[in-house]
Amino acid sequence: MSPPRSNAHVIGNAPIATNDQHVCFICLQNDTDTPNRTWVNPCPCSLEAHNDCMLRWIAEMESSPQRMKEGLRCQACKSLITVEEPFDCVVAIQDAWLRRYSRWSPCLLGLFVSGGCFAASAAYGMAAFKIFAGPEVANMWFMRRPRLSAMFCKMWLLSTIAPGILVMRWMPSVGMTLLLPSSVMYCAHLVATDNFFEWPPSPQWAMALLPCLHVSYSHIFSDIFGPLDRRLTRALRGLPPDGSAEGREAALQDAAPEAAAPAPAPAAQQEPAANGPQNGWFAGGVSGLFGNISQWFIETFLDTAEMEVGIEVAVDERYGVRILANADILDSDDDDNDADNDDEDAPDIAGERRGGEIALETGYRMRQHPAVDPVPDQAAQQPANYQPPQAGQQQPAAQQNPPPPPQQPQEDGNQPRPNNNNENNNNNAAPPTSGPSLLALISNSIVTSLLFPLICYSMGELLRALLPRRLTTATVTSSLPWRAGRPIGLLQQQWGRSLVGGCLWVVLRDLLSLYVKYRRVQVRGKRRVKNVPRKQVRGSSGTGVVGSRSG
Amino acid sequence: MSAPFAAKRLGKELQKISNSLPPGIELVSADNFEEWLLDIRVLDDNPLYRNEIYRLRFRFSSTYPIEPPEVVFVKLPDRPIPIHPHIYSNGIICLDLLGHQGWSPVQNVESVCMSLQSMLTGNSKNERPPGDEEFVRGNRLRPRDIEFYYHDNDV
Repeated sequence: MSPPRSNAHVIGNAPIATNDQHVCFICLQNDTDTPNRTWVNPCPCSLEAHNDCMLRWIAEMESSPQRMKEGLRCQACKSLITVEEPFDCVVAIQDAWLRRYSRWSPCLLGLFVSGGCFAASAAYGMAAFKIFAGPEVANMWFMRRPRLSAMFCKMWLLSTIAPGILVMRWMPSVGMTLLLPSSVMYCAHLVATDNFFEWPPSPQWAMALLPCLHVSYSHIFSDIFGPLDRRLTRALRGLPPDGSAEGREAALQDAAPEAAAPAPAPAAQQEPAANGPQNGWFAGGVSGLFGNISQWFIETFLDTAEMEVGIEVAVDERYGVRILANADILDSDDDDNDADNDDEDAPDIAGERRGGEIALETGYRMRQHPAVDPVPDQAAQQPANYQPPQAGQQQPAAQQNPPPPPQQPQEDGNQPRPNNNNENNNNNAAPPTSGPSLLALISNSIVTSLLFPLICYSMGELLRALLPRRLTTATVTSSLPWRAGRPIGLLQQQWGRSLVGGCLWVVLRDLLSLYVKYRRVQVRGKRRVKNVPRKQVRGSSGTGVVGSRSG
Repeated sequence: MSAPFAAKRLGKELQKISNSLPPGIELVSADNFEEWLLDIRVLDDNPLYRNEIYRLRFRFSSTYPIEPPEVVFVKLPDRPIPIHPHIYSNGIICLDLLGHQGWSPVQNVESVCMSLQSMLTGNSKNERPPGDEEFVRGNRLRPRDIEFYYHDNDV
């Protein structure tokens, strides 16, 4: 509450004394009371005071910064009161210095902080680069032109990696809007400098093509799985899918046709993965934030996005928290955290043991209990139909597809780390029965995004372990991997493996999250509210039945 | 100069007050220069305050009038606490004039009384400040400090 401004501002009728006498408005003494004191007229109005009373009042005012905000003013007429004091060089210097220093210190502080952020970000970028492409390559790249300006430029590039990843994660449309045009321009630049595309692609081309790959992947994925995903989302939220139970059946059965049909599409997904061997990390990070021109991209994004938004908004009111609304269908990068958020065992037909998590955006996600195998018969069949396309898709497209399942759990060296982190986040943030808090979701998502280079590397290593040696071992060794001896395949270099691994990861993750969502819907269908045994109540027969059960 | 400073000024004020006071304000006691009691009543026909007399207690520090006096309503059998959105039921008054920021040596006992008088006259709300009960229950601070606290909150 605010104290009222007293509108009836009564100025005391100060002059007690008779006409031609001074009266100090502070101590109310007049000339005769204080014969030898100095009098001052601090302001144009009639107030007058003893000099020392006035100074005392001024000192009191000066001790409170709030009151000095408007300057030293007469309380009655609000005119400025000026204090004269002899010039003292030391005091003046100190004051001037203090004024100037107060003006500059926030800037300096900002400089320190931003410098710190820059350094941290660059360090992260370098670490990510080293993990992704291998330390030798990274060092070579960094040291190639040891001029200060070039080094700084590279530092700057590296420092954009982390923000880039996060932007792509949280604002994919903004990220892509920046990314696509510059990728097109970079392609043009490459062509203009006679650096034509050939197989296997150079890192430059990989970087240049990655955004396109990313967009087409999102597009294709949402084309194929978008409707299914929306239906699942609806079902999961208890909205009537298209009406009644039949609608749900229909929705689920769509899984089968869609699973069967998409053979071409998955191929397409993989194809880019194979020939545009780039990946969210490289593009989103190193080449930073670039943009998009193409109409088709906008359409892709907007129309699916709008539909999603419609649904989600409707649902919001019922379930409260929600983040990352439509992101999961549209953008593959967006699902980063979906896939490895949970480490419960999702009972899987394929024998996969992977933590799956969907519907981050639903905000109320259920957890599956490891012990219970909730797969009902129907569910068992459906997934059986549903599954093959995943496997089928990936195999034709790229030889590098290992059986998807084992990856996550089996990578002991590096992979466990993200998992552990996420697990911890989950555990800390929320009791096991409820979904994680918003904060936990955010931290999951950030951590997962930042660990993406590590994930790429792990996937790359996994590829190396699983694929035949001739595919993954360099035939020509050279000091400059991207210049000299031309490797025959993408997978022979670490960056290539990481890249393919990352792409593979994204695809698998998306599919898995979709699948888990599907299973969730299945479980949801079997849900039942548990009856609680009640104490026996005499009288009505209805309650008697319940009571007898409890007894 | 500290004790005599306030005393001199209060002496002058007392001298004037005992001669004449505006209608509706009466000096009850001014035995020393630390605590004075005054009665005020509202002059017009405001139904909230009709036929009531309120007791004000002024406490002066040794730095008065550089610092504001502490002014509260006192509750006695025949002296209730006026109901007002800025007056707590324990008598503490939330008025900028009485806080460090609003105070100035131009004010005096008489002017404070008149301000309070007009504050009551102008009020038509039959309510206490929000949070009155908790405040009254929990408050152990002196009015001056509370006032200061509110000002901080406002700014």
